Amino acid sequence: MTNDILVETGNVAKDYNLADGTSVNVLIGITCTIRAGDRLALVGPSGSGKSTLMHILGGLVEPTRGAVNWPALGIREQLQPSKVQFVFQSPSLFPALNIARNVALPMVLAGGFTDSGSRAQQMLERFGLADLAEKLPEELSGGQAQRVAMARALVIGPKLVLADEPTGQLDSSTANLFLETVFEVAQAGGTALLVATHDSDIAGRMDQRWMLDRGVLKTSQHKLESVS
Amino acid sequence: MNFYWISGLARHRIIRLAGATFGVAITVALLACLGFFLASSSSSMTKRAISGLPIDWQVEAIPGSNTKTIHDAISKAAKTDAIHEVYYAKTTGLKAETGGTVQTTGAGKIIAFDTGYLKDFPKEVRPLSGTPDGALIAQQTAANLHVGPGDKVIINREGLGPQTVTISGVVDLPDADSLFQAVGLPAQAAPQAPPDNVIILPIADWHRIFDPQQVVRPDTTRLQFHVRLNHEALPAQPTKAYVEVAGAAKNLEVQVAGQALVANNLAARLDAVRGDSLYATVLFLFLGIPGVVLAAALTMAATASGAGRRLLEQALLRVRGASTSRILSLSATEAVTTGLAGIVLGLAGAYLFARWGLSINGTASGAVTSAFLAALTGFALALAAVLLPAWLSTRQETVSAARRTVGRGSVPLWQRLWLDVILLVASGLLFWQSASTGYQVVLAPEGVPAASVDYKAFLTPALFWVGSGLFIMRLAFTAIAANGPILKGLVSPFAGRLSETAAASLSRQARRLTLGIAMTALAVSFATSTAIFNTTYNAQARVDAELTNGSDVTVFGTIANPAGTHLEDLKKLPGVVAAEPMQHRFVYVGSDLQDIYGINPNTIGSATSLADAYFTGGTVSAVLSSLANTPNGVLVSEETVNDFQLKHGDIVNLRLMSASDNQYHAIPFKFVGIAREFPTAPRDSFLVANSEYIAKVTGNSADEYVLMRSDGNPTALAKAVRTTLANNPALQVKDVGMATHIIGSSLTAVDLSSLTRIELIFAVILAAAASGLVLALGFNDRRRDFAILTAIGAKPAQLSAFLWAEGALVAVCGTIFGLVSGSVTAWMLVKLLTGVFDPPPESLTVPWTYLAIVLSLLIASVILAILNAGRGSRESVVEAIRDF
Repeated sequence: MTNDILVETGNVAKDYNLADGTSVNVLIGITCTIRAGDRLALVGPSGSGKSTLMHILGGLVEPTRGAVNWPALGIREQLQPSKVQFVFQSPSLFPALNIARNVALPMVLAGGFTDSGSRAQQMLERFGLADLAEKLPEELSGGQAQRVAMARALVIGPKLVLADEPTGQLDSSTANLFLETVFEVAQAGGTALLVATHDSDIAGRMDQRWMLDRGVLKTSQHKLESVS
Repeated sequence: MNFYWISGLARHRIIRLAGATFGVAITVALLACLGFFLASSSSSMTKRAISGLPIDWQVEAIPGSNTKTIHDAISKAAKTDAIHEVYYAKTTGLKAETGGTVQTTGAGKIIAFDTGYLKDFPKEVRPLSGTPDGALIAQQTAANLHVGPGDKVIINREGLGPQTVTISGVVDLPDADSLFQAVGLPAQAAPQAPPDNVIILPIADWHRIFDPQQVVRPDTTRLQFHVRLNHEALPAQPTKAYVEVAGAAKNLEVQVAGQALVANNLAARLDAVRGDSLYATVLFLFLGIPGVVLAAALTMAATASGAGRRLLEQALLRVRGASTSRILSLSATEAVTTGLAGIVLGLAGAYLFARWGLSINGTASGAVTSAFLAALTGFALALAAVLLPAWLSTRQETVSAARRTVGRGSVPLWQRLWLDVILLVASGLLFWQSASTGYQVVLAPEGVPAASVDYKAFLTPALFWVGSGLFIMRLAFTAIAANGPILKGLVSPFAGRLSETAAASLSRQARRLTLGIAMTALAVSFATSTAIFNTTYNAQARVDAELTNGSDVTVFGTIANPAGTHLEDLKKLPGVVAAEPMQHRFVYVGSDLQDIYGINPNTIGSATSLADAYFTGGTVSAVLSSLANTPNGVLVSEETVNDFQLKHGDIVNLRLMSASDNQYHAIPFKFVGIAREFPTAPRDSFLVANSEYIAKVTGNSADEYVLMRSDGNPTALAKAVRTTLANNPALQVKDVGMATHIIGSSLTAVDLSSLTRIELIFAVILAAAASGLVLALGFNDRRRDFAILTAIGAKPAQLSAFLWAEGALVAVCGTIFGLVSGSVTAWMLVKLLTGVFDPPPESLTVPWTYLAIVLSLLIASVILAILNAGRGSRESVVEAIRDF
């Protein structure tokens, strides 16, 4: 069903111009689809274009060639904050707000949430981060900050969360626990997940795995078994 | 490595480099401009002060003395440019027969100059008609005798028969007061009016006519040496020049004791301008230094705005194994680059501004020294702003600490020690002390070589400025960090429904915002105080001019030739709003000869401006009403009241000249009030009484002066008055514009004018830069934070809400604090520099247009900073988030 399709790309390519006048092809002929409720792992070596693909899928970056559409979500300008959320690889909490306000921020920006504070608090409790509510981002460890970023991404109930190495700074047991919570919350909100990761365990827990190699997506078909 | 580092900064951190470079450039430019001005001003101060002086020394030979000895002694006492002989002889009267009538005059003077005199002293004689090669007659004498070039005049000699000369030209003697001054009289002696009748003879004619008189009446002729000293050899500072010139004259007096007397006109002039020159120096310190301090502080604030990013880069370098020396070397490269760029830009700007904006033409060496010192300061500032923090961070910061950009932070030491309050209290105490001594910042007593400046007085505004700056930081920090109703109220109009979040965000950045607010406040304060002081000074100069001139137009006459006789004609002239007669006589108070002014207290205010500040112990109307109600009342100057220990209601016996016998007689007056200033009156000692009473007791109702109020064009009215009084050339007509020009050309006025022009222009730049630059650099430093907001869904309008809230907070708070602080500083400056004002102003004059320009530019710079920060595509958001 077309209204299940959150994102679809057709032969998308992305080139970056370098300072010396040459250009580098980061993504080549990417064609893929993400549907509602999908659990996708995006794997591939460093520099293979994982982050760039996620930014294109989330509407942050425009492709050089090819088409990106969001049939069930609307046009590019309408994606954030309520329909698509990101969890970035590098720290991405707003440093001047405490954790509770950081988590509530997407709801404040979206407007229409009279209970943003309590929903943020509930989400923090869900992730076991309630005692961090009054702290500032710089007072958190890297792992805590990543978990807060995921809580912030999920709190507004988006249709799609694009997470770039969300467990990169977590030990495996904490990562598993964290992922359980993510799945639960995503399931409850009908949120699709695309998680870029180097961790094969994490990738193994997703419904399908996309392999990106030097800008080429090896597997992008829906409901296929993992390429490995 | 260093080259790659700096080229990388130039490509990716250009705003940071530009901000620091701008700060250094503006500091260097301001410092260099002030240096150029000071070098130019101080090198020419003595020269400017004495430029209008016609004769430096008048050395009068006592009859029978050896003139060669005197000449040699003069040459030995000081470096001279010219020494000339001038011969004087008394005549019992002049006579001329023209047009069938005979005119005679009273006593007069016949003088002669030696060869070359008029070449060296050209200001002594101004030719009006005829040729200068024969007997020249003074304008007033020519009018009295009805003669012109070609007419014959008979000169009556003392003890000998008359001689006839043919007039070849009519001249004006602009410097008659000095030319005919009595040499050797004590300082307290009554002023001597120049003779009414003067003829200048060729020296051979003078000897032919008066050598015989010299034999029979040696007391009726005299010889003076008129001397021009070498002005180039005099010290540039009038105070030092005064000491040198006075010393040289005393040395001469010793050398020629018993043979000659010395009138030291040069020392008298230098004595009079010493206070003025010291005030010019004081003004430089009061008004110039804060600008430099502010520019340096702005540089530090500008670099501090990008400190977070800089510390992060250093931390990353350390993580990657860079040694401390390598990190310092890279920071030093950045400091040197910004320093050199700032110096080049600053000096180029200063040169162009000084050359075309100020027309400063100082000495080359003075300019080079100023430029060198400014460059050195700029370089030190760049090192202090960039390298010092880097060095401190390598010693103290951990890598993780450097990553912090917000932080809860600890209360600074100055805040815990209440340094701001201590400074404000200290400033208040010093101000109170200055007030108790009558704000005498400069002391240059007349005739006393020692002059002093109370440099302690400078601490008053300096401590207030720093104290109020810190106090503003305390208040702003407390209000912002508390995230209370004040902050929310300020943010709400700009942030709308995001105001809660925006206020919370701002409250976490209280330290950063406080710095921006303090810089803005200090810059606005500097602009406000300088502008208010300057405008008040200019307004007061107009009042001073009117006080000096008496009114818009004043006709000055004498008791023998009073202006009052023309009152009715003058009242009928077009453009006259009011014309009021005023007596001006001389009166003995004890043994002091003082000026006394006879007025009608009920009508004098119609023709001249009288301010409450002119009187002590009451308003203008109260004091004049008291005088009007007491027919024999007299207003006495403060100095006389103190000298004679007078009490209100005392009967004072003053000696006035009676018209019946031309003798001084004691007349009882009742002391009814104190006058500090009065139109046309001298500054120190004078009296004001009812004209009717003076007329009655002296038997002479003549009104020597007429004060005239014009309907808007004093110059045109003065011209009409001169035309009306053309048949009475002895009456002098002066308009307020002439007095304004004289006041405006004083050392203080000239220096203040150039200094404030520098200050006002830089104040505008600094005020705009203080808020705009600090905000722009702060926004640039937090580019990543705004990218995060965009990435999680902030629309451009929502992002703008954060930016506008921050910009508004800095601009509004900084402006309000700055205007208050600047107004108080201006009030303090006006009080402390009371000596510059004559009379002191009753209230401050606010330059609304200038302040509107300053605030408009400030707001424009804030808007630019916000718009620039709000720019950027979503792709740059990704780049910004990666940039960590």
